[in-house]
Amino acid sequence: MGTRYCSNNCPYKVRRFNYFDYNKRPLDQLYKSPLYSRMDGQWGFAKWFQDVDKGTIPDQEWELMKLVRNPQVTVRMRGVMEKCTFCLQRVEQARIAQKVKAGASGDIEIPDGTIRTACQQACPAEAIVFGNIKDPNSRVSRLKQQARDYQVLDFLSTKPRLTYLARVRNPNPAMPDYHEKPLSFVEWESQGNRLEEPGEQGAAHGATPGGSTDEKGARPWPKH
Amino acid sequence: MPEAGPVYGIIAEFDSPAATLQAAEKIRDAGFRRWDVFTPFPLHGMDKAMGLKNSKVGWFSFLGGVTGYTCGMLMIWYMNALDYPIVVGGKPMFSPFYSFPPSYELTILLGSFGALLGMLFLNRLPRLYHPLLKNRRFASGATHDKFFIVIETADPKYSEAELRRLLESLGSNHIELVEE
Amino acid sequence: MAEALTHLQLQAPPAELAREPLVANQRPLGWISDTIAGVAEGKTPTWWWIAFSISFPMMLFGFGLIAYLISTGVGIWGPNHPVMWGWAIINFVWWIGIGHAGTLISAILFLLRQRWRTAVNRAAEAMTIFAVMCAATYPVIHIGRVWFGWWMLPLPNSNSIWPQFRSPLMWDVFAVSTYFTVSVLFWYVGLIPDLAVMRDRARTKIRKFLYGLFALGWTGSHRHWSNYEKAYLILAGLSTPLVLSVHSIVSLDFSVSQLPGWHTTIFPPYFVAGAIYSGFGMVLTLLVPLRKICKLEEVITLRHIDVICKVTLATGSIVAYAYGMEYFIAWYSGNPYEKAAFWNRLFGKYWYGGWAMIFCNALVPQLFWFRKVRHNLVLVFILSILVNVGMWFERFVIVIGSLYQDFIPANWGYFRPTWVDVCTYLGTFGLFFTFFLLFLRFLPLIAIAEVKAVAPQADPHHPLGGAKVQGHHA
Repeated sequence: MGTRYCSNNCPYKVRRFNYFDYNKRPLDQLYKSPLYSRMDGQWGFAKWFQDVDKGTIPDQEWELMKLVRNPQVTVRMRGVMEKCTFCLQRVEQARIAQKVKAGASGDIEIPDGTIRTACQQACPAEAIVFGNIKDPNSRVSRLKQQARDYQVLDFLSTKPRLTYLARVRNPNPAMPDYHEKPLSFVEWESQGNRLEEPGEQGAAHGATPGGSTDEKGARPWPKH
Repeated sequence: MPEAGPVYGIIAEFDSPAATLQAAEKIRDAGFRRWDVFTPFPLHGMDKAMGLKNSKVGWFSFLGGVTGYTCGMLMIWYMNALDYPIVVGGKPMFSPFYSFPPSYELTILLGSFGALLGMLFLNRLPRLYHPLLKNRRFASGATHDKFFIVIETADPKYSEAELRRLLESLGSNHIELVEE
Repeated sequence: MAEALTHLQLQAPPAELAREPLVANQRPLGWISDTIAGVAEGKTPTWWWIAFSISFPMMLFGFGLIAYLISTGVGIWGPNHPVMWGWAIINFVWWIGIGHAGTLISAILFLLRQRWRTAVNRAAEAMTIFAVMCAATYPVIHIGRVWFGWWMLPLPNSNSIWPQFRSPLMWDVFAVSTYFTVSVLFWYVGLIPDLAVMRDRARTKIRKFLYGLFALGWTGSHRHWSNYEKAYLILAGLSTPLVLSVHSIVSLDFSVSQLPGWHTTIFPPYFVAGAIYSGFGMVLTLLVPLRKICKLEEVITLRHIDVICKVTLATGSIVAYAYGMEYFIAWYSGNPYEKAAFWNRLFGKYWYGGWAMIFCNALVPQLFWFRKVRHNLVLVFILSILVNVGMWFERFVIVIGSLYQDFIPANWGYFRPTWVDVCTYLGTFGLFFTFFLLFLRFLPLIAIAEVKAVAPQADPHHPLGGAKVQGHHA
């Protein structure tokens, strides 16, 4: 019921909480209690009573809001924790389709590459690969067997499904992308060792590229 | 004082704990059964002076505690191992370790209820009507700073004249009859 | 053999070693009833109305803010990514910690036969109950979907799912609700004889009826006292492990995670010691002015204040030792995250919290070594407030200090409380003081029967209790 304990315990902090009615209110009216008086003369509370789902969004915005939502990656109700679901709905769709196709033969193995998660589908660099890690022949398993594959925070024994492929670099100091320290440190220092205050827009906030492997590795974040 | 109705018993007022203690011992030795001592606070040594056995409240509390513990363990086993097991980080479905804190708290909770309810049960409380509470002398002294010994008429050895003499000799400074 | 011992003449101790009596000036038993019950009888004093008129609106404002919270969302508070728990959990642990002193005074000191506890235990237990009430509001309102809070109870719900008991938050549910219930039971059991006192002194019909109803017809019969004493002893015996376990379970909320700064086994004893420390601080904050205002200086004597200060010193020293060990182990472990977490507590963004914590919890109680400080009531009052301030900062440093900078630097973020956070906290103060004032107004704030029982006039072997000079009985 939204204690946010799971997010506190998450060492990767991939869990995000829906602190407000993000799906029901326009972003500039999140803080308003239901007792405010709206532009069209109605009380927010009365509007909410009329239609709980619509919340307190003005009528003309409601249609627009519905278009914005991607049914594959929804924003859920207030008070719940959100996280990457690894597009479980697409996995289930593929499973069901496979079972339907198999019929009585019992061949329910989903062929590798059938399921594409939303992020994998969207990524222009095709940096994300998703598949069955129990199957040693799938593309994702073969990529994980490479020596460049690493887990983030592996000393915590969290055994994440999601691993990254380290960037292949040329250690020659004459190379243009040569650097002494780990890149995360470069970014930290370029920000002036400063934490972002709440309310600031940060290009680098959030460390969760979705997906199972990242072929190109971490890129230097844009300086700001 | 002329009594209007049936008599509940004879009440003797004492001023000091020591006198009350000695008087209680004498009453106990005289073989009375239906009698009691009323004090504003528990007197040290009065249990022995009255010949009272150990209180049975402990058994109620023990029963409550054992119920609490078994209910806790059973409930957690049923909910987390049998009915709806959920895989959480590879932890076992039922373990006496993780189920201990809630069961332990339930032990204490039901043990406390056992103690309180057992005490009320053994004391036959709540009893909002009591002949003694109507007695003016009693009401103004028993919870304040006086000590009383009451012997009920229901006791087989009850005899008003004899008791008056006995209680006066024990140091009581006021003796009267209590009506029902 | 027994006769030989009882004929022993014991000399009275020399004057310098004699303990101060628990009820000053050899006041008689009746005076005890009169003085203590007198506070709750008669016309309501002006100071009470002034205090009530401040705390009651504060409480109502707090309730209003809770309504705002539930209708709009947890976002109106400060927590954000990554600091998901903010003032709500700090205040929860703070209030629960304060509550522990009451049970300690009632239960543990009873088992240790510390007779001085009788002058403070009723007010301390009341403080516990109201503090736990304030604390318990927070876990309920801080969750995202308050209307589903009942899912934490092992009741069947429409999803056919049960609570998951491996989580310390579930243990918390049981621990805090058990603690509240048992505290109320223990408080009520102690109140029964005192309610009988109030019943017998009541002037108005309503008072007589209500006191009589809740006194359950208590007559003071020794047969009843015998069972009562046993029940009280059992409750004390049960409450002792309860006190120790409840705050341990609250601390396990933190220990069971792997966040650096949280994932340490020192938390249970450290939290319990800290809780007792803050609770005794609050007892001092409440009783030092109360004894003056209600003219109870002869019942809550300087000896009582002195002893409470000593307990505060003892527990504060344990907390200081715990800090030392935490830092030492963080350094000794070599774990860079652990070292960084503790370095951040003193030199990171919230450095003021870390230093306030060390100053108020490790250094301030050391002043109580000095008798002059312990007997200077103004100083005691100020220091007791600092104790609680320090303990608040300790929870602040633990909750926020560990969350804002954890493993991955991209997740680091600052936390700032909002006005709603602060005012809700003030609202809980309103709740606490409203209930405490109502308690003062209607119920005896000192355990009348228990104080009488420890006065020398109650001892059958003491001359004041009627014993003869060579006094002993068969």
